[in-house]
Amino acid sequence: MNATGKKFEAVTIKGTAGGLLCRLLDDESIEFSDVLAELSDRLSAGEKFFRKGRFSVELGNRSLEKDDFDSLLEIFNRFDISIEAIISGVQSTRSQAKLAGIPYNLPNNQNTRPALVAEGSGDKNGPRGGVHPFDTAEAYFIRRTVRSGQVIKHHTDVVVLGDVNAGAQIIAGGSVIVWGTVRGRIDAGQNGDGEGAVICALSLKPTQLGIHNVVAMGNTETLNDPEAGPEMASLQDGTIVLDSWMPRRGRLRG
Amino acid sequence: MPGKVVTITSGKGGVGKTTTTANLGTALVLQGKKVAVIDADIGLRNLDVVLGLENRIVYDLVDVVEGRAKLRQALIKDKRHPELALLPAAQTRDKNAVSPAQMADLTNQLAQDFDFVLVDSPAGIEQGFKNAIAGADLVLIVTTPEVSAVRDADRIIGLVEAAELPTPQLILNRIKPAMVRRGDMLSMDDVKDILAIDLIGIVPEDEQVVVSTNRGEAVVFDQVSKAGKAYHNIARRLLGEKVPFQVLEEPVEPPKKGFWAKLFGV
Repeated sequence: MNATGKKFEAVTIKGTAGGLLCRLLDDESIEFSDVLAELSDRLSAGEKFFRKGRFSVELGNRSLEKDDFDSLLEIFNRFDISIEAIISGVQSTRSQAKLAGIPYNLPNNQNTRPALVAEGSGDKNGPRGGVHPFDTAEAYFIRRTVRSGQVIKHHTDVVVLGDVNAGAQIIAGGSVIVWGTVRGRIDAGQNGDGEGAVICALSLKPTQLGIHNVVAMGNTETLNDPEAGPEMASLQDGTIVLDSWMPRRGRLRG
Repeated sequence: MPGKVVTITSGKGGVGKTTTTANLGTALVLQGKKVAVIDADIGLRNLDVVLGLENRIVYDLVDVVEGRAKLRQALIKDKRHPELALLPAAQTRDKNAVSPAQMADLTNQLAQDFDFVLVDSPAGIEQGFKNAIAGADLVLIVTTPEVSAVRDADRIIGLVEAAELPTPQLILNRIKPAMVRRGDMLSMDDVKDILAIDLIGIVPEDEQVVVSTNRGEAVVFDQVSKAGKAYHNIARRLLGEKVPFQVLEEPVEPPKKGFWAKLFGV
């Protein structure tokens, strides 16, 4: 995602479990006005898709004065895009957001591992070249057993029609749904703002589960419990919690 | 029509690849087929030992690949059953002495003259394994009902699928029915559930295998051996027959006392 190519990419837009995320490079060697110009171009290019959208905007460690911040808002306004949150590691930028009445937050990856972005799946390396907004929002559908030693990395949701065996790993930007048994490791919500990501499986017996920046070990006592049934893991108050993933039978009887 | 190249592999060592290759090869010969078995475990050869042909090796697989011998010169015919031929591995070289392309070429040549070409793969997932599956039409995965062996089998299945070969079939080896009944060993269903591939054979633990192997004879000649019977069944399934799986019951444990027996202290 960084400026190693001849044409730098100061703006990254991608779909995440929580909506669209726009990341602006905080490299101080690139003028913010250039970043804004690129942002404007990118939004124009995908105007149909982005118009009236909702974005989280990640500004990294770039410090923004009022003028710059207003120019940023102006661009998003032009496309009727509402800003859900400003994510910044710098106090001065966050106070600009506060003044403008926009929710703000610290970057998620400051105290955890860096947000994972799928390498070689979609994005700018795709066959069509250039970033295409429709590539990024697509879920990855796997119709086979994911076996030991295999790693599936994808930047949005992942659906598996089959098992995820011990020794296999799925790393997803969004949620992971497995129509089968999970015996391996699943990391969901790895795209930076994945608190809302869930992991569902017909049978959930993982070695490890990760959601966002929390990792839980599989419970060896329940591993062989045939009664467990389909379950869903989600993040609640910083802990991974398992719930039954069954239709509510009560409704039928009522 | 060229014969079928079948690779026998496992990932984990010591689960019975070589024994399976030797017995399956012999069983196919007893079914009237012409069979060549190849030892692809270069540097750690022992298929020749299991088949009792060790003292007849003149040339080996590497000699053929490097052009020091013709394929026909290196093939050892088993005098007891002339339809069985062995291409032994080199003992003084290693896996990198041969490339997958050379292996595919070799198995292809053999398939012209034989109904079946069985390739005994080395353990592991490196060059030796890649060589062994290079020319395969079908891959048979051998596993024992142990968690570590099943885990390795799973890895191997993934690699076979990634190599765009047909989905491999499974041989569950050295199963102990009594232990399975007690819940101390993974059952056939447990293993099938995890690996999600078709089973082509279940071979029970059988001391006779050790006896035969040490003598350099195949256990398939033993009329009473359950393992021998299992290999015969696998051979017939390979030939397309529908053979039901053996019922692996051994009434060694005393029957449990029933409720009334307990009550009256009988």
